[in-house]
Amino acid sequence: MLSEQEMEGLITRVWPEVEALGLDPGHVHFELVDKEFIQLVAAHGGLPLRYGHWSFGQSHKRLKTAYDFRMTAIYELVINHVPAYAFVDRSTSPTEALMIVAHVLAHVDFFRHHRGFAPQPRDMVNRAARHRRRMNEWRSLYGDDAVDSLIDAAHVLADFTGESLEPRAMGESLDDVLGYVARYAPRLQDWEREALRLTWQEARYFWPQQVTKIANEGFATFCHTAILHQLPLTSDEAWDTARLNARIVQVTPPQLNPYRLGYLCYRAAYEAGGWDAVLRAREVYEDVGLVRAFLTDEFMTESGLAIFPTSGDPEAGREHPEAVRRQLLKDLDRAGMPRITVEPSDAQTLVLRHHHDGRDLDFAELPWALKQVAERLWKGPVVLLTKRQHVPHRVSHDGREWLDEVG
Amino acid sequence: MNGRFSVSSDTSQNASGALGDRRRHQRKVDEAIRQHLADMVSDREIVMSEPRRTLVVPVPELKQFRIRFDTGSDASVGHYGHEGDKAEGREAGGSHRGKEGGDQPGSDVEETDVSMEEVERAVFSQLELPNWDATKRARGAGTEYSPVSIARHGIMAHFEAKRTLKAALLRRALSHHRQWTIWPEDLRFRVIDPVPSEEGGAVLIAMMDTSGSMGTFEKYLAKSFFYWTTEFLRQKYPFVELVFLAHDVRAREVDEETFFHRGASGGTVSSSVYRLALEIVDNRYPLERFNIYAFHFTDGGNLTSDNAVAVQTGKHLKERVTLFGYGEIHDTERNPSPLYQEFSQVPGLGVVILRSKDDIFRAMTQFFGKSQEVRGA
Repeated sequence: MLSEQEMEGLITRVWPEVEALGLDPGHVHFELVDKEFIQLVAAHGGLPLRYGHWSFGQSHKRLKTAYDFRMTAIYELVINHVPAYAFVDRSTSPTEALMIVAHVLAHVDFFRHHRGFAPQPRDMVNRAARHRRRMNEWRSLYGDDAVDSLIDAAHVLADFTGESLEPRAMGESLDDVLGYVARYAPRLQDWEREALRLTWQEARYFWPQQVTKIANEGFATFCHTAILHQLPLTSDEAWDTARLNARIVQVTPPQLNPYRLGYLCYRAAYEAGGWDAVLRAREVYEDVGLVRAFLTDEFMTESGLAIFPTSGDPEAGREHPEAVRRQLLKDLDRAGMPRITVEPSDAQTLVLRHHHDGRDLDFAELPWALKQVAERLWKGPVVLLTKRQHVPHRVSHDGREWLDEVG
Repeated sequence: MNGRFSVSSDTSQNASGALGDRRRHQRKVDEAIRQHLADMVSDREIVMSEPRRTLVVPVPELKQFRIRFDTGSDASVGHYGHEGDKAEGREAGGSHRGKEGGDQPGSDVEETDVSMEEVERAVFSQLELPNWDATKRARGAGTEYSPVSIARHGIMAHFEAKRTLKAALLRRALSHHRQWTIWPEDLRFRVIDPVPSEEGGAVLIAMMDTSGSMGTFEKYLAKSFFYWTTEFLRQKYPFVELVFLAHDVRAREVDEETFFHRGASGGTVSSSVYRLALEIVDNRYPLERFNIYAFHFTDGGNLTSDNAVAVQTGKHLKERVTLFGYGEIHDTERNPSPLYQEFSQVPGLGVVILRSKDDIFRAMTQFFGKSQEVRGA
């Protein structure tokens, strides 16, 4: 069990090396907690004291099950906040914690310096707690069902708040679907509009994190590797940290390991231009930019990436670096979300356009997703223009009926 | 440098509200279970296989719907394994931040594991026992008081002379005293202990048509019904006696295994099984002491010449049991048999027609439905 004194000792060891590399994490508050607490915060998307919703309970249960079956372990959790909060599992060994501290400090540095996080509020934990309080007020005023169903529907649109990382007013750009609905939906009650605004704020807070997963994890992995190289380690410490590192960058086909891919990208940056290039890359690139900048053909071979499902022949996916790269960029673009914008129309109907890029939408879920939006948010017909197997489709839901028209 | 970081450890980190989310989720699961009761009751797995602790129930209500790409048909990029690089399952997640999902295709399961206890709780919350006579307590549920053990202390009213003298004799034989006196340590008293009563109980008389016309499907419906009825009665009574009567043209009492798994052939004479049931009730289970639940399942193809006799004995049986239910299983649309029509006229005799798996739960609620009289379908 890690004690506060041990932890302070570890941080004091790591910190000079962190500064020597040119990182500047600012004030970091480390909190030693049980793994149950980390699971809870992770289930809430990484915001402690977030508003309540059954889906967080569901993901908590899943995380717990995954942990119980030794499928995953979450060692640390960093919150983008000033001061930065880092929750560390107190049951990790001191040596593992040494690496985790280095990893955490790199994450905090990333949050502080990446351009995407610059316009972010610095006090999101407090804001989320305020949101939670207001949601609870509405729960007692209008009932759990009203609030839960509103959040259900808001979560359908939470990934569509605009792809830009620049600060924007709510509902200003056409790709900010949730913001548009919160602002212009004709029949929302005042409290519902306000609740949507809160979920919109939280969605905007998460968006930069969603598009910098590989960049952030890769940077932290590259940094902790570099820091541990600099530290004088005993042979036991060297062994333990190497083992933990190996677990982190381990490959489980056919999943994409963001730690491994990100690490390789930053290593390519380092080879090209030294530490300055690494630090510059962590300031400007989100996942797509990082891959585009450093994923050369030569590097493709080393990265061990392939397109899945491979059509029978496992070698097939590996052979064309160009094709793999193009597919990877597609996967990472907009954090894997389809591009959806609001089409100008009359105030009664919400018309959305899916900009088809060769990938079809999941038509099994679509009716349910649109139904929630139509029923609970727009309170009127919602139309989505998309394509399915190259044929234009016009799908709509008015809260009662699902309609799928071709052409 | 110390100002740059701070460390604290919190053991009582209260995740306030987060537990509320677990509860909210659980409430949704419960709600979903209630809506899928009919499916679960007819789940083949429950009846056919070994006793299981959990049941996988698909609950679409618990899915979070999103507008997203169809992951099934589209390719995506991932790592392939290197030679000799066998991953032993993903052990590390490292850290975790940002939102869940989106980057993990297929993580959204639409099924949930429900324990059998949860299913039973949900099912039985909808049911109760009609015509239940609380005075006919189940064996083991009630208590009687009887002097069963002996103590060295007690009140004189419970004085046990014979055992006291015996103790005194024994003591004298072991010692060298010749005097014949009773010492305080020789005193023995009766103790009145509460003991589980041996009286009464519940009996389920399961009658099934095993004639050639009863196919696998018909038998499966009947089995499911009997399975749930037994489980339900076991909730209400610590002991439920089961009587299995199989019949074609002749009725015989069989064991559970034979009843559920052995096929038979031949025609159908329902009166035979009613007569056997009457015999068993008369000889073994007097109505004054037992709550008797008798159910008969058939495909309705009773021998025409037997109809009148069957109706007569059936009515007779109804008088001698707590609840008599008659179920007809039709896999196709056809008119109820004459037997059904006759029985549906009899007040207090429950009749039901089962056509599909979903009807099992409907039959349960019809026979054991909350606060309503047993009535015809």
